This record gives sequence, structure tokens and C-alpha cells, in this order.
Amino acid sequence: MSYLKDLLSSWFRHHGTSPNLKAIINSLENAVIIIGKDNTLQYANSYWTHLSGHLPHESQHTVFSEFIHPEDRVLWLTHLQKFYQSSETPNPVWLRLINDNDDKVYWCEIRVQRLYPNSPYPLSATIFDITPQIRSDQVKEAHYRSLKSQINRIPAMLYRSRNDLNWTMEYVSDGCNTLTGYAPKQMINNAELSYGSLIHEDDRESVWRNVQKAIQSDKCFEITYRLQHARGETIKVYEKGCAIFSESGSILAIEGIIFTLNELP
Amino acid sequence: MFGLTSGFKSPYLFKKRACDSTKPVSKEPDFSRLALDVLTGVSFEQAFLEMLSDPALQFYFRSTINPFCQLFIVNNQLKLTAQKHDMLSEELRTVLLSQYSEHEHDFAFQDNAGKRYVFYGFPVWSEQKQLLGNVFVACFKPVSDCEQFTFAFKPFLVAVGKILEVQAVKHQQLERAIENERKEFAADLHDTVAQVLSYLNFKTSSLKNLCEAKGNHLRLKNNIQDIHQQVIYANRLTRELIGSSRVQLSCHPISKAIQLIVDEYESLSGIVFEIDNRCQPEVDSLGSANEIIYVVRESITNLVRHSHASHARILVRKSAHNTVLLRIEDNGIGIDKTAKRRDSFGLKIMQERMHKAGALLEVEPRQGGGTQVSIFLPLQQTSFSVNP
Repeated sequence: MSYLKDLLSSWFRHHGTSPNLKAIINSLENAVIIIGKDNTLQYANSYWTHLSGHLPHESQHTVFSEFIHPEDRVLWLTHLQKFYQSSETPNPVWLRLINDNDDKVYWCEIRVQRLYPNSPYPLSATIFDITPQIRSDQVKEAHYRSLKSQINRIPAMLYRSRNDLNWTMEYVSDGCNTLTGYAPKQMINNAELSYGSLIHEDDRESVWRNVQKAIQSDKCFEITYRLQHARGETIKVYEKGCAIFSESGSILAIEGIIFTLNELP
Repeated sequence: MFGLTSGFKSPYLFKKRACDSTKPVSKEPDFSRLALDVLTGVSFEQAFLEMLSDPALQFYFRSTINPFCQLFIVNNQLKLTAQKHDMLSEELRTVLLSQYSEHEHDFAFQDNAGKRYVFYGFPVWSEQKQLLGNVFVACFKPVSDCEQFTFAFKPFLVAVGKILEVQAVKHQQLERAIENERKEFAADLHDTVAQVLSYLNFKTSSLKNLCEAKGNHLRLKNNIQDIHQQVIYANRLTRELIGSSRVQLSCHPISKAIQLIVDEYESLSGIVFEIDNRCQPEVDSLGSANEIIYVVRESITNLVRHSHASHARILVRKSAHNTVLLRIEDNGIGIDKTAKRRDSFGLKIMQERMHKAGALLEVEPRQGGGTQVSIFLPLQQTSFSVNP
């Protein structure tokens, strides 16, 4: 309840008189509840209605777990158990409350504390609506997931490498498996082998020369060369890429895409 | 391996000899009732454990065979049941199952805790002399009098034989039921395809006649259009058959199947999916799982292909009239009913499937934009009367 204490202290400092505590608690845009020994709600402020769809007096004497999403009830009980077993203030718990009015679920961060320092019951809890934050994270995750799976489905190898003779790979897409016969993790940072070592011995010099020439003239490069596949055969590949520069003009990386040309004569 | 003695003597005579004569002799355990239980729905494992908890049988074992023995049964579907499940380590399970098909059943086994057992195997036969399974007895030390040991087991083996026999019958019945369901499904589909093809046949004949007449181009065009749509419908039904075959391979409960579908489509799109399942036990106990999973998959496919949505939610909760509501909703562009393609039959097929499952399917605009597909699935015997 330190949040409430801070709020009240601030009020006293500015107004110098005793405020209407009930009005303050009901003005909060967080739910404040008190839970009794039998896990029933003893008190809820006005914002509780926004989250649960129930008026505070309607919710009194109802078991708090009933407002929690069934899949999160075990999490809540585990949190309570940890709360009683530990002398330290536990981390807040994130779970879903069900709003019966609009059929929505609200993601909430719940902080639990003892109402009276020397008594295990009742408990006070502050409930913050973190649904917008969760939704935002879900959107970011979905974008990332979508982009990642899209890149990995491309029938070619996308890469970012260092500009060295080994062409040390910082990132390669899953297309690496088909193109070279090796898994990305074998190649990233030369864990097991370098991309440069797969380039046909007779082509290594021309590859290096053509890429450096394009970098110096600040252009993209397009090259064709032979690559040693894990199966043992030599395949022909086509690569298009360009260098990434810092503001000061130094080369940070080479990025590009490599296709197999095996089917061509 | 011990063979059963041919001259069967009453085990109760043996029991009297082996027990303290001052104690009352227990009543004969009622094995036939347990066999009946298996027939009426009690699982084999439950019946076996119940049989072992019978006081009369426990007294019988303690007093006649070996106070330090544990029992295992391998039935003819190679399922293993143990008196104490915690004894069934993976290693022991493998050993017992490998011994099942062997002729020699007696062997020693040392568990992870270093405890040694000697296993004795007894074949269990049906009245028609078919091998139904084996009973393995684990003893902490070898049995000295094998004949007495075998003799004491005779009534127990007879009872196990009855249970296994009943279970074999049940298994056959189940196999037949699954086969019949498959046949029924195939018959229904063939019936629909046959109707479409008959219609096509009729229309083709009509087209042929029209082609012979002059000045009927408009009617000719309409007929060709109709035939075209029906061909697409037949094609769609065929694709549905292929899709259903894939769905039927899924052996997951409905909740898990929905999760797997969502996982699959999440990796194929940029849509944020949310599963809000508020009644997992109820939804997993519903019948017609294949039909439900098919409709969920079809709805999510449509959502990904046509909705232009950024968010989708699969809501599962209890609803009025003893039903479960399964709703797939999105915040996309919604359905423009005026732009409905005449050659699109997806919704019709979904409705037909749900009707067959006794459920109600509604597709309507979602409040706040988008579309919602609501399926009201009856719990227990509730069902909806809807026109397909």
C-alpha cells in the first residue's frame, strides 16, 4: 500500500486537512480490494467495476478466484502460497480477470500486501490494468514472428556477414540448410565452419575482389560462383548484396541474399 | 515356465490347509461380477485393481502364495497393468512387454534401487483356448514349491481370463463402431457427391439440347454458369474429404487441437491470436470432436485469408441452455454479404457439419468491427433444431 501512503502524504502536504479517504480511493484508476481469510472480497473501490463488470457491493463476499480466468486460478493460488511462505514482498503477479459485462478479459498486475503488519489477514491488493501493454507486446511479437517465419521460408539464404576473407556470418536465414546443407548455427560466427571455406577454391579470390570493388564504388554487387555443398557436390550460386556503412563511412557488415543456380546449365 | 496342472483341485481345500484353521475362511471372491463391470464400461485396469483390493482375494494371496509378491498383467493389446503402478518403471515395462511374446517367462530383474525380483509368468487362456495375455508375478525371492505356487494361482487366472475375454469382446465392438462411423461418413459424402453429379448429368443433357436449338444464348449461358458452380462445389467437397482425413489423424483433445491450429496459423500470418478458454474440461468432453476441429480450422483459414484483421480471439465459455459457446472473432473488414461469391460453399459446409453434430453455427458482424463465428455446442443431450 506504499502507493496509497504516498498519495495520502502528498494530499496532507498540499491541503493540510484530512481528506475524504473514500473519495480518494474511488478516484483511482486502479482497483483496490481487500481479501478476507476465506479468499472472499471484503471491499473493492469503484474501478473494480471497470475490470470485473460487477459493482463493489455486489462483489462482496464472493470468492476472489471466481473473477480470475480459470486458466490463471492456479497461478493466483500459488502466488498467495508464496506470499504467506516468504517474509519478503513478492513480485507482482500478472493474470487475467474476466469482465462478465462485455465478455472481455483484462490483463492485470496484482500486488498483494498485508492490511495490518502483524496479521496474516485480511490482505489488500492493488490491481493495475496492463491490457494495453500486453496487447502492444503481442503485436510486436506477432510482427517479429511473422517476419522471421517469412524470411525463413524464402527459398534462398539471407545473411549479414563481416567483411573478412572467411565471410564470417552474423546471421543466416534457414535457407542456409537447403543452400549449403549446413544448419545456420554451424555457420554463425564460424562455430563449426566458415562460409568462405565453402566457396570453391578457384572462385574465392574473384568473389573477394568483386565484392570489394562494389563496396569501394558504393554499389551493390551481383556475383556468381561455385559453392561446396555438404552432400559433396559443387553447386552454382548467385549472390546479390551490399555493404552497410556507419555514419563515419566504416564498413559495419555485408548484407545480401544467395540463390542456388543448380538447375541452370 | 510353469504349466497349469491338469487335475484341478479346489483351491479352498488348499487354503484351509495353508491358513490358520482358527481364522474364518473368506467367502469366494466374486470374479464374475468384475467381468460384468468390464462389459458395462469399467476399464480393465480399474477392474483389475478392484479385484486385487477384494478382502477375500487379499486374504487368499497372503495366506497361500507369497506375502511378498506383486502382480502384473499383460493383455492381448500389450497393455500393462500393475497392482502397484509405481513399480512399473520404464525399464521393467520394456522387459515385461518383450517377455510377452516369448515362451520362457521366468526371469530375474533388478530395479534402479537395486532390489531384485524373480518374475514368474502364467499364460491366460480363453475358453476357446486362445492366448489372451499373461500374468506376471514378481517375488522378492524364488518360490520353493512351484507346483503349489501354480495351483494356488489357478482360480485367479481363470478370473483374469474372464476379464480379458470380456475386454477382447469390447475391443472388437469398439473397432466395429469406428469402422461403421467411417463407412457412414464416406457414405454421406458419396451421397452428396452423387447428388451433385446427377444434377450435373441432368444439366449437361439440358445443355446439349439447348445447343441444338437456335436463339437460346442467354439460357445457354445461365446453364453453363450453373454447371460451373456445381463443378466447383464437387471439387470443394473432395478437398474437404482430404482435409477431414487429416483432421481425423489428430488424437488431441479439442482444447489442445485448437492451440495447435493457432500455433500453426500464428507462424503463417502477422495476426495476434488470443485463446480465451474458460471451460476446458467441458469442451474436451464434447462429442463430434472432428467436426468441431474442422470448423475451427476452416474459420481460422477464412480469417487469415480474407479478414485483413490484426487481432483474433478464440473464446470458449459456457452459455445459456446448457451449451458451450465457441466463438472465433476478428477485428477485420467484416463480411460484405452483397459481395458473396456464388461459388463459395465453405460456410454452407460448415453449417451442415455443425447441424450434423447437433450444434448451431452463426456468422455475423462483430460489435466494433470484424466478424464473429459463433458455435453453440450442446452439453449432454441438448441439441438444436436448425434447418441446414
